[in-house]
Amino acid sequence: MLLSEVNERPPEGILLAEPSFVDLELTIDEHGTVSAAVVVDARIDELAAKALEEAKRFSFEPARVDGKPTPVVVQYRYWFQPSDAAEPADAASLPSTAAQSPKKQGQNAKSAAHDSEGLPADDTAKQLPRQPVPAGSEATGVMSPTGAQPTLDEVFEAVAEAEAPRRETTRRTVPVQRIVRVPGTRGDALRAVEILPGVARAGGGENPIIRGSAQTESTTFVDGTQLPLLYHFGGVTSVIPSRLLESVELYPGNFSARYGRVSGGIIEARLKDPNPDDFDAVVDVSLVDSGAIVEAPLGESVAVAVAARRSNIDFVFDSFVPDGTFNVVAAPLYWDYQNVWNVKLGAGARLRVAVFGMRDELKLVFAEPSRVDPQFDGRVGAALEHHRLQLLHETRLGRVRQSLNVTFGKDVLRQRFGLNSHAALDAWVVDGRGQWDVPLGDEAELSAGFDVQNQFFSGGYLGSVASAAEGDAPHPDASRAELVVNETSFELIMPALWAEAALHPAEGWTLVPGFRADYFHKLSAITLNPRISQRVHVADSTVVKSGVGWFSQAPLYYESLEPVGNGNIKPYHALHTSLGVEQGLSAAVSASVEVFYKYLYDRIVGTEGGVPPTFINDGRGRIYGFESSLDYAPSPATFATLTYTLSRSERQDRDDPWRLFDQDQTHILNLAASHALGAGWELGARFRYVTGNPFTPIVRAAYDAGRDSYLPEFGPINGRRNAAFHQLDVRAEKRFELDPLSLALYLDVQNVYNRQNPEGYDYSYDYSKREQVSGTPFFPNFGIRGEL
Amino acid sequence: MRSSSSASSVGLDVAGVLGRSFSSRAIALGLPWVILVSTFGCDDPLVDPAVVVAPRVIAVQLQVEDEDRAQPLPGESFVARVFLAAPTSTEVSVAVRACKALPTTLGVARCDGEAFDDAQRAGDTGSPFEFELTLDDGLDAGQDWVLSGVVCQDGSPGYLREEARFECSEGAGKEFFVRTPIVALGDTNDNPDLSDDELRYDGALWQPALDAPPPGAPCREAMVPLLGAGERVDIEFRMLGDDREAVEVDRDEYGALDREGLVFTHMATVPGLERPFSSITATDEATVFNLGLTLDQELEVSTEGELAIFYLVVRDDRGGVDVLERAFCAVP
Repeated sequence: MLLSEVNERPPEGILLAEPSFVDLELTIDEHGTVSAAVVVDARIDELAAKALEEAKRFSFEPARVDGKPTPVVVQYRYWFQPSDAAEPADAASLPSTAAQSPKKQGQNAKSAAHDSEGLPADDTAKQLPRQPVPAGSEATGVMSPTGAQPTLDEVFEAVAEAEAPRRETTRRTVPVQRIVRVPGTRGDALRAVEILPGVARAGGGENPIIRGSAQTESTTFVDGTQLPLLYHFGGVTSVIPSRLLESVELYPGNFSARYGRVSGGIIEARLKDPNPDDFDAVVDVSLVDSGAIVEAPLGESVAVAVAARRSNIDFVFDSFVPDGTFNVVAAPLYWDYQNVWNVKLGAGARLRVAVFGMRDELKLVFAEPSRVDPQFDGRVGAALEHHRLQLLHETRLGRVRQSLNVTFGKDVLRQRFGLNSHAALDAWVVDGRGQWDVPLGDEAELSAGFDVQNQFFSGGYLGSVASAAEGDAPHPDASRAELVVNETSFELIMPALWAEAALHPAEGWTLVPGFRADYFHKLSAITLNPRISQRVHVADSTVVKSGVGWFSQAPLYYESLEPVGNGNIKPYHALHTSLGVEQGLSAAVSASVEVFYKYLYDRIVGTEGGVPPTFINDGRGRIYGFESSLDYAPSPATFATLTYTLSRSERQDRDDPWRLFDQDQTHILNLAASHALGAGWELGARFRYVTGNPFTPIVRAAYDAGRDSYLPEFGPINGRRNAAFHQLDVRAEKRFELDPLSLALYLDVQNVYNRQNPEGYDYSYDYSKREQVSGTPFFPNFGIRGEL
Repeated sequence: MRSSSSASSVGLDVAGVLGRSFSSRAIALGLPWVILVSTFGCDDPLVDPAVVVAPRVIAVQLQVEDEDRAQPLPGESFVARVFLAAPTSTEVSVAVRACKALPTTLGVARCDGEAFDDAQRAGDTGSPFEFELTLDDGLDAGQDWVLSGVVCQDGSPGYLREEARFECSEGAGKEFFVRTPIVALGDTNDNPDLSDDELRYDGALWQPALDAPPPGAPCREAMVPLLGAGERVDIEFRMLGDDREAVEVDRDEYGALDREGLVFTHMATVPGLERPFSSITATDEATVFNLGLTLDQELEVSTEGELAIFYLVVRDDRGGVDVLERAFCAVP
């Protein structure tokens, strides 16, 4: 809370007909002094200069984390009143806070008084429109008078974007405003997690590779609801636009008992509440896709956001396709939509309804059938759809905070590949979560809840037998037996209970024991996962953290589905251990290092020769490494981050020798930086150097006369490596303020020096020759974004 | 489309609860895949499989004596015909061995134990290599057996028991195999028959050449069609006797088809075929396909011409196979 004198008079020579504001970001040090101030948005340059000058004189009571003063960054809207309204007012004659400008109480009023679920913590705060604070945050950065006696209209609340006392050993919170500026991600916050320590480079597919775990061993949630697919077309862009996100949190290991069914890591994205005070609109058009977002208040207690996006690739696809390649082109196409309703119910309660969904579609008819596989007649088609309706209710029952989340969904998969491979699969989804947080005095808090996932599948399949999710030699389809799954239906019902305590045995020490029990109905299996983590403030700017815990991984849905998989398969498990230090070096510089070791057991692997039951719990894994990061953020206008991970991820299948994980990457180096140059210009760059992925060499081939295909024979699984990956991406943006429109032109260039990064090999039909397959070439994406 | 070991081409990258298909033939809805496919289509710049540049096996036909049946029963004698294609007449050695197959659903079929029959023969690539073999009478329905072999252009074939594979004493051999299930007598499959079908060369019936010179030999005076460099010919196949056998299926089976589909592989000893495969599926009403062959304008052939061979192989995807050859003369 700022109670310093605030001068709302506009500068000399500026006459205002109505109130106007300047949005600032203030960095407040541990003494409550403004150490940096940056203009984020201003409609009149003279007001911006004045606000900046005034703000640097502000004084706050320091924000506190675990009772310790800590630097924070605060969003602050500085209001200027019209000349006749800006005279010093008599406090006694002023209206109450509620009578102030709605703007002033609204989006400029960034309440710091939030509890750990972002709910107002006291009556004063309840009068204020809520700004989202990530669940798990605590009342931090509460600012009180430090200087002169304040006048009533100078009482501001501010959202201090300080991190809450952490429970997890490692939680990497990604401020969306910063991460969308990372070049090479096209402003995609969920893709930008790739720059964080412990996250390996994923060529495509689903979730990132976190601490040497497979993509299927990590998952992404949106406010507690599992996201079935993170990216369109395996990596083009994430299915939730970044402008709808408040934050993205990465838990690379030793995560809370709230989460389960995965043995790798967790990404938790949090949707932003729609703007409750004003109409906002954004239109973004680029070569890759076009989208629009509209936010608006609907009365006093309801705000809504609507967004939609569609790919543009199909409009330009013909230009990239050589003549005669296709007879018909009806793809690729993706779209997604989101609709978020936030309803304040009074007494600190709220209901949020979120609807989101996506579709990827690809349908091609090649001019020529395959030159290798006689079963491929040239017809390829696939469509993937996900839809979710999420109901989130948060309230306070006395001292207990309650959060309930129910999600309904529908998933659709259709695919065809040539003559003898097609599948149709549908699923209805009903997920639920409940969480209760109970304070136990000043030194402890107990959290407990349930987490249930239900999926009801139906469909059929004709195609080749399944391969192992990881570690399988890349046998071509022609070498696999065919499999038919008749129209069938099955259910995956997976309830779980969990509890976790946050104990504070001593000042600066947070100890979090937790426990989670999962039941897998189809597998008739129960898993019990004890976990414990701690964070100790050993000095003002130094935190030592550690954790150990068990994590159980649900099989992929088909691994337990007969005849595709093994009906007797069980979940598998991972032991996570980690130890690290976080060190604040100055208000602008911080560093962290962490070592980790994970052991996987009862892993699901393929049987020898892929014979039924196809999958068995007979694999192990060991992953160990070192993560480090160095962050420099002197102001919101500038940031630089350097991360380096050294790791080794190995697997053992059955009694085979230990081998490398499919995507083991020894060295992962990321350097990203962005700087606002002024006059609306912003420039950023990202450089990555990553050890090449392992691959399995082909040593010879034999002709299968029955199928008219050559089949390869392999050397040791993952016995060789691709050359290293390195790439430079740059991003430039120029903003134009055309009141009331803000227009931005941007250019995001991937692979500036057109490095031919190896992603694998293509082989001739008889495997006598091969050539390298390279990743994304030089790829500029130009776009225009308008904001109202 | 080429074979690929890159994760970005065809693989099981589709994510999520439903997105993860369990087939490796599932389509990876990934941009890299789209880029790859759209850039290269189905062309194979490395090696064109429709061009025969060296001796190679193009089919192995199993036939029970005096029958069309392609699946011998335990204890029965049968003929294994190994068809080779070659740009010129070449002396090779071919060895085969028949054995019970190791249980596997993927990869190259290998022997489970000792062979129950084997044979070896040297000869010219101009004719199929025939081996008379007998199936072990100890095999049971549901088991698979494998006929594996090697073609050695140099040296003689040998078998490496430790590695369960063939090798040639000199040079790299061409290994091949065919894996066949043991089925009950009423469920066996017959070989398709191309002899009662029509092949037309620019509309004229294309008959086997009489007294034609060997492949690669001068041919301007031979009784075969001439095709000049840069010229295009339309090859038409008409299936007169329908070789798509009825298949007994459970009507409720997902994607079930009640008769065979046929896949045709075509290749030639000179480049220029439009594509390497054609098909007449189980549901196709038309039993005809056309195929263009255009000789490269820059093709270097002697003024006397060079005899080229067009090969047509039909497979019914259940082990049945037949082969047809026709000759033409490539001239400048």
